[in-house]
Amino acid sequence: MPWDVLVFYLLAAVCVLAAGGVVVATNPVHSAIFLVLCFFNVAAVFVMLGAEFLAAVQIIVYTGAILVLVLFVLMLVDPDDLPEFHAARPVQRAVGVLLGAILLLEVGAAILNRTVVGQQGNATPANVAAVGGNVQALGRNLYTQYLLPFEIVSLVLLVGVVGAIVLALPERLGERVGQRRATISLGHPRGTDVAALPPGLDGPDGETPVRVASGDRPVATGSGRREATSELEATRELIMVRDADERTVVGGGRDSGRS
Amino acid sequence: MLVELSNLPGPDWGLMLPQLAVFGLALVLLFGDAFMARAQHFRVLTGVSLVGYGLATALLWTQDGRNEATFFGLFRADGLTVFLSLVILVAALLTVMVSASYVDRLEGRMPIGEFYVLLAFSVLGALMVAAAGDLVMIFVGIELSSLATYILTAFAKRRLGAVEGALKYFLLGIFASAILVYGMAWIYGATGTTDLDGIARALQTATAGDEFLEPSLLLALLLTIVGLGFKMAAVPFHFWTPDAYDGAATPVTAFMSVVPKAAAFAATIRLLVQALGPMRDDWLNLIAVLAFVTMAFGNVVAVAQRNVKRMLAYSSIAHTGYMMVGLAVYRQQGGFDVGGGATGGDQGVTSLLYYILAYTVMNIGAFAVVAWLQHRGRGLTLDDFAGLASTQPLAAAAMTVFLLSLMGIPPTIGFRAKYEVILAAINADTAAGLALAISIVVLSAVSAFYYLRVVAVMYFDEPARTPRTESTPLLNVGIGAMAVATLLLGVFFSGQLIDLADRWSRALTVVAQAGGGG
Repeated sequence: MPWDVLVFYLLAAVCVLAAGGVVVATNPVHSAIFLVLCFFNVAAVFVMLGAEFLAAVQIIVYTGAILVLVLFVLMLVDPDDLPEFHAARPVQRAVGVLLGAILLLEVGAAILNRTVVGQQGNATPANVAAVGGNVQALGRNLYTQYLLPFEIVSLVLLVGVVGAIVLALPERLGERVGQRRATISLGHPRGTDVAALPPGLDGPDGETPVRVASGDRPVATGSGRREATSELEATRELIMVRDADERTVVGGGRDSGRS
Repeated sequence: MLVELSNLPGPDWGLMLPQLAVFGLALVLLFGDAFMARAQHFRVLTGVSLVGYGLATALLWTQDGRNEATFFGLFRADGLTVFLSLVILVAALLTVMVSASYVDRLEGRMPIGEFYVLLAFSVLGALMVAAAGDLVMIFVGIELSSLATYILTAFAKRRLGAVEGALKYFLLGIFASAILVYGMAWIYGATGTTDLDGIARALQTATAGDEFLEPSLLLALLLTIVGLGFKMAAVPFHFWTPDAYDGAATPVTAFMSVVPKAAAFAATIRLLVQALGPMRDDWLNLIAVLAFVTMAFGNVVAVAQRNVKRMLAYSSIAHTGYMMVGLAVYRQQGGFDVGGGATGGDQGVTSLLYYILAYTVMNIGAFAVVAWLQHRGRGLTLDDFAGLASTQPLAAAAMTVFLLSLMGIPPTIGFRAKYEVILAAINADTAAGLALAISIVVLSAVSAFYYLRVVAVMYFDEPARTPRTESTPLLNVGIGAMAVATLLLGVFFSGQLIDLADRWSRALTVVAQAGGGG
């Protein structure tokens, strides 16, 4: 057996075992580390296939960016808050294992019983070498033949950004920022919570913030809102110190409003 | 050979005017949302959306009869593109009418600018799927459309039900997308190309005179059908549907019961008929079984629902089943002819396309009436519809029209659409086709129970309380237009619409690529 085949099987075996580890590990951080291992092996397989650029992207994007993000999220989430996946629902678990096994058998059968040999695409080694390497070849394909989907992917990212803002923006803040014609100044005392200010400091035109319409349904729970507000105030105090006087007045007003 | 950089053909922008119009609309909305005072959002952005979708719909006539491709064959403007784009744009127009006042007033005033932006992107994604000439385009278009729809589902984020439905939809959705891509990867592996016509050509040579089923292709077929079945909410891949439909704000439900479904059927027709047509015998039975299970399950479970919105969710599953019948009786006699032999449209797929159009009008209409009642302080259960006919006779009449159409009572458009599907199933002249035709008739009788129950409650029960008065002019116009369309389109213009749908088969002829592949 030539050495590259041996190396391939070694990489593949580690990769499959690591992927299994992702699923089996009870600690989510361990799962993430297993995933890193898996991605590294996939990158190595890409190198063996002569796709060095993909290997680099695999490392930079997946291990470098995405998994670090996953780890950040995991560290921010209290492990006790994570749902228990392994104990409950034995029936679903059994069905899942059964269906997974069937799928595995199907994939195995498809691989072993191939009569139609897969047809070669246009990215043959000769073609890739002719344009100067696989970075060039990939660039050519992306910016010529697959330009349209490439551009649409950028729209997908844009939708993701808009969606993240819509779903994550606290409602009261969003309400006020929207009212203020694109002046998103969190540092401004009235940019966050005017209700806490004494009446005299209500702003030049005396406008008061619009309260969130109560509607038919109860708004967010009281405690949650209070927490959010106090968090904003804390931020504000740090940002908005423009001169000593203003800070004293605003801070004093808030305290008296609270008590 | 890889693409040669010298003498590179430029894209034919004139071919994709409707899609560009929707793209421009999305950008205008995005900037308008950012730079306009919030007080103006409702009025201006609603107007811009209506004008934008109207313009895009009008621009569809520039694509009509072109039958060309651009962007190296990735974007195709053929009969299928035009008809499905028409359905999607009409649905978008109606959704704007239904959603404007709801988003602005109910559920704690959702940010209407972002709502329209996401709506436009979702519509654009669906349009791209309808015009796709390549596996990559299908996938990317579906992702754009779905991602925006996931966010729209969670838009009423104050309600836990909306967040729950969106999370289920999102998690199962990305899982289904992964399965779909896996299937596409197998197709690429077996045929060496992602081009739909190229796949058909490769399969034709691979399966010529070969009775043996190729396992890897079969696996690819299975995986893609699972992925697409999820997107079109076919049983048994429907588990997200009731929760997502029930949890989302009502106009969003109206939208996502139509546009993502239309996109999923567009992808299915492109993939199964256009690309995997040569292995038609393998997928016809699979689709037939799925169609039967889907309509049976949807209709039977809908009977048990007392929440009208949830009942309409199950009914939309049932309608997916009716549509799939059109696909299950697809038959292109005399084998698959890539060389331009496909002339007459296949009746099955034509009836499916016509059904999607009919379903768009009547289903958005039914959800619109639900939203109309929510404006007036009513809930979603059957009791909230009690005595509607005595307090608000016009709304009750419109709801009755929509429900009768969903049931398939003449002379509504729903009847005509169901009639076309049944006719196609019988004309297919197979045992499966006949069985499917009979099950449509039987299950429509089952569906009469739960549709007529709403009508009976509206007309014969005593009103529980006096409704709140509220002015929703745009919504009223939308409901009126849909009710008129539901009543009249089945009788008038149906011939023209079916002719238009019938032109889908030109997608199967080799598209003349302007500028040598550009």
